[in-house]
Amino acid sequence: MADAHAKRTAIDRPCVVTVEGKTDRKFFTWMAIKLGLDHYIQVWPYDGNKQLKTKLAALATTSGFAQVTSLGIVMDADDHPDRAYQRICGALHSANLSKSREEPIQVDDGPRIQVLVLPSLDKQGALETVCLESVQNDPLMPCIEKFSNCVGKEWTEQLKRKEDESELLIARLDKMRVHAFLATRYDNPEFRLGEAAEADIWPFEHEAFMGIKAFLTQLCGEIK
Amino acid sequence: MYKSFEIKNFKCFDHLKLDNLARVNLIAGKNSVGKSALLEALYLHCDGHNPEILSSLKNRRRPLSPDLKQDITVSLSRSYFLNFDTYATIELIGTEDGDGVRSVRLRLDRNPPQGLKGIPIELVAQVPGKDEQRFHAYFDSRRRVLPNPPAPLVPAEFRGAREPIDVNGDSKRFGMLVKGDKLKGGQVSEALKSVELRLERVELLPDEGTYLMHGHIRGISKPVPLPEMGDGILRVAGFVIIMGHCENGALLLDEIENGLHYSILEDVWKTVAEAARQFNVQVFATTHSYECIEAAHRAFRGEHADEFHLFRLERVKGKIRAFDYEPDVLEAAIETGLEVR
Repeated sequence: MADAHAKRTAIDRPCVVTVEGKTDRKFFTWMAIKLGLDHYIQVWPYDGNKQLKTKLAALATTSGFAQVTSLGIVMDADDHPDRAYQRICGALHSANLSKSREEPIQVDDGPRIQVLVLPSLDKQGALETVCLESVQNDPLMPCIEKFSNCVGKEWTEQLKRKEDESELLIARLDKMRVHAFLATRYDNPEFRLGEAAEADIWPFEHEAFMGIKAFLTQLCGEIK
Repeated sequence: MYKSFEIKNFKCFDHLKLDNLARVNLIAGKNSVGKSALLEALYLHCDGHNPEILSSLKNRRRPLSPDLKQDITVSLSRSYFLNFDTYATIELIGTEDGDGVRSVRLRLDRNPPQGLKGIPIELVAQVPGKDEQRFHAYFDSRRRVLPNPPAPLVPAEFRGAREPIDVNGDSKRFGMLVKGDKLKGGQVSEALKSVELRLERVELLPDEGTYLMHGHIRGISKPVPLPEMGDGILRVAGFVIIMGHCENGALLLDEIENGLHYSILEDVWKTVAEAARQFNVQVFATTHSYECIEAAHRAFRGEHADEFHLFRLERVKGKIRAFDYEPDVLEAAIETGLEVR
């Protein structure tokens, strides 16, 4: 049974950004605050990309969503950026939020839609990949790269033995690199990407975040 | 059973349509979005040809003086029309199982008969395959001057959110149902076990000059009058009894969760579902409670999922809209912590 006393999410801002999980929510909330857009943007984690269509349909029927003017969907590319994009487009269409299954096209009386695949539409990885790029000149990064290369080789061998090509290797390695990077600074194992954002660890001004900033700014473009 | 229901120009509704109506329908939404008004519209449509319902509905909202119960004025009638616009026509349209589309239209009677009391609203009923029929309710010294309207097309019972529980009425109905072999005392006690586990049997017994439902409780030597067992027992007993009373009809329950602890709500929904199936009753209930919605979802999950539907009313750009939750969408909304009230 869901906790009946837990606060339920109603939509009370004109722009909604849906992200994969709680870590991403913390990161995007931090981004919105830094950009001065937090009064316009509400970040909602859809909790994994399975049954995305149903979750988007649930969001679209939620209290306050009918007043939303822009909807942004963020998803990790993992090993297949094009698949991530198509998954979002298909889910938006099935949830009656887009006219097309191939690309996001606003429906009548629906919000404008923008899609962001991370790190980008032509690159494998995840939000972690973007964050790592922003700290690539950190003096400890070469050590983390050595560790990561070693682990990566072993994982690749394991996957070959299992003949499993479905494993999300690139994104998984980047998530591990982020953990390793944060472990060089904090001894709290609970301290993850989202908490690092809240603690201003990621260099907000770095050009690695340009794409995310542009996405959020455009989302609020007509409202501000 | 209604498959869809449409409202035009009634109270706060400009135009509202509910599709995908199920056997049990739960209406959620913030205050002042028309949850009770929707039940009122359904109640009017169920009867189909009796403008007197307007005064009984008015009396539920605010007790009227005995005179006004038969004589609601033009000024009181205005509140049934969207934005008090009495030049508009109220239209209630229901699509029913097998019977096609039936409509009820209401408009202000601008030339009421002189010297008579009554309700200055004309009701125009349109039943498939028949000519329009017009109904009025005017009285002379409390005697109806026009023929009584025929029996309701859909037997319906309306339980308002603030109405006191009618213990004597429910006891009388219980007696009639048991006598008619439509209900067994054991059936009511089974339904009430969600509230009182020790209850073994319910029966009608003389009590202070009337007959009252009593419960036989394990460990207590004498039967206990049901009102002594608390409001929760009476509420749940009332749900079952009233469904027996409006067989093949509709039950309208405003704020169904009133008086019921959250922990029993799933069992209460199962009881409601079972009685609704047995008596072929369609249920429309309203709620403000998250626990109540979640309990209903759990009670109907699985093989009975298509017997339950949640609708949430919300004011969007000044107009009330209904948001319709398919079972999988409601499941996702609950799982991801989205507001469904």
